[in-house]
Amino acid sequence: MGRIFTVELEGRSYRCRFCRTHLALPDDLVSRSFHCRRGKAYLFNRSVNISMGPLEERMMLSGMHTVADIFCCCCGQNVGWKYESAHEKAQKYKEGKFVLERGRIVDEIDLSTEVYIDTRSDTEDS
Amino acid sequence: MKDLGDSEAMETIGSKGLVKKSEFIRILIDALSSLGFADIAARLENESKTPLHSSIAKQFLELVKHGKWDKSIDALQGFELRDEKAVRFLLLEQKFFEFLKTDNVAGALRTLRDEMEPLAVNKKRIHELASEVISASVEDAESVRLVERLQSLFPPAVIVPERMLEYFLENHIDLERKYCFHHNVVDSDLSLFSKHQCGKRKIPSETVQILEGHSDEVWFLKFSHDGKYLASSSKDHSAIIWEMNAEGKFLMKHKLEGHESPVVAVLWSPDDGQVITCGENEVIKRWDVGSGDFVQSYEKDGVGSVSCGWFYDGSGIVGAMDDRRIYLWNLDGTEIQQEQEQEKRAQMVSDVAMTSDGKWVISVGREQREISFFNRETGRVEKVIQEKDMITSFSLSRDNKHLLIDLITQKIHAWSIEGEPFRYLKLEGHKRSRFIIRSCFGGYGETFVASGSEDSQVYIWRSGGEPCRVLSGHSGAVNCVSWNPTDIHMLASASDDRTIRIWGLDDKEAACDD
Repeated sequence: MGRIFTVELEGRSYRCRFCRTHLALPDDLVSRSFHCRRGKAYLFNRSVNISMGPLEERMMLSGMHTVADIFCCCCGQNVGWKYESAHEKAQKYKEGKFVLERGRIVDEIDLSTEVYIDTRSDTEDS
Repeated sequence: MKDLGDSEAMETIGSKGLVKKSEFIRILIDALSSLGFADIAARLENESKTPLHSSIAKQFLELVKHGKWDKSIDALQGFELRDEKAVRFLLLEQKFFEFLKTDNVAGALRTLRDEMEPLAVNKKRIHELASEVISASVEDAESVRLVERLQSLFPPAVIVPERMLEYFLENHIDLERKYCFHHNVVDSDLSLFSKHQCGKRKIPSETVQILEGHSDEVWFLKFSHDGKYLASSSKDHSAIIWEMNAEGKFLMKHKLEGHESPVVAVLWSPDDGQVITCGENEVIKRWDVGSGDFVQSYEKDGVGSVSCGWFYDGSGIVGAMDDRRIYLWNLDGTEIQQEQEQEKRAQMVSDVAMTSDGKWVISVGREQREISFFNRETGRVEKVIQEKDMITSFSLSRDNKHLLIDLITQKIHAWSIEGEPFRYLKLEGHKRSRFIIRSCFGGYGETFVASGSEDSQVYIWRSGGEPCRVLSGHSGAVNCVSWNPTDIHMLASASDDRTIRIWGLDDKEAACDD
């Protein structure tokens, strides 16, 4: 549909699991200890090549937030969400940041082994 | 004005009593003589008993016209001048220039030293003129402008400047044109006899023709420079050249097939005799418009093409490739080696263009947020436009003095790029979230901007803020628009619905008077 506009990130990047479109850089990774219904998720300062769904109020584990689901602009997969605003002060640091679900992204190391298993070993820090 | 009694001299015409009758008549006399009707002008002068100029003014102007400088200075006695020295200075200046023109340096110096200097007027000018003698350059003394300059030094109404009526009328039309906010008619349509106000009726608003020929999404289109052809390119791996017939309708002339990738752009050579097409991450191809034949491929081992452009004189091709570099080829396909170590000046998705003076190569630069201007003479990027958000595409105005930038944030920015770049327009209203949606300048004096949109509509703006027209009709995202350079009322749009629409004026609307 149309000529899709995508940017390429320099260096090792996190990509959409389904179509390998670049989504975020390790430099922008803020936290690895986020969660969603489907499992682990990472918080990033910036994300590219995503389109946003409508804003909605959602009750997260940490309280009420205004969020928008984000989709890979190439294949349309829901890859996570963006925090538009947080209702509690302690959660304000999330505003404007992006969460990408671990199960929806691959990083370049994963690509070289061509493994599609959803879970990773428990050596992750949280 | 000795012939007229006081009351007659002050007689006015017009409903507000602002225009003196005697001045009106004198302007008419001047207008008649400047049109060549000297006899009728003389008759008007006699019958109205309103001479254009008093007899001494007439004499004076004759002397000036024939370059009799000394005599004209003598004739100044008949006038009550506020600043006689300034007038003398002006006339002596003409005498000075005449001496220089006839190589009479002695005469020029004598005039300067003995006649002009003692007046103690405009010392700076004396020095300038002195250096003109030395530099032996002769400023062309225009006697027409001289009368204008003299007129301001004489008491009001003594000397009538020539062609004032013309000037007033042209000014009036010019102002109407300036204040016509959505002005979009050719100059020859303007008339003294109707108050001019385009309104929005003169902006393309109706589908005039639907062109079907592509079997997949149409991603790009552009009118030829002469406005008689339209080239379009599509995801169906082809480009089509359409030709306008005598009734102003477009018919398919050639289908250019050969690419093995969607064709992302098709661009006209400066003489409209050829086009180049760019395959997505593939190669650039050149085609002959008359025959539709493929002529030449332009490629680089190991990299694919991202965008392309013509050399300003049609002698070569510029291409941005997916290694983020810009390459140049001769028409025969041989690569032009570039002197400097090729740095990465483009992006994975970047347009490229060479300006029509051959001086700059423009592309999207660092982090997709910059437009780089590469100077071909110095081999360096010398100008940069910095945007806050990412740039998806850009286009140049025909005079290359303006640049239109499409941003990832659904905004369009217009920049002036002649000297120091500055942004003068911010437009929004259309939709863009996933695709490359292109915009372009167009309409009268290229003062309008049109853009495609992901909501299937065409948006048109005349200035910042809200669009002045939104055109519906397509049933898929509109990817690209092009305004006919020789018909300001014709716009074309390319859509995901596989069609191209030609837009024109709504005949019923356009024919209405205000």
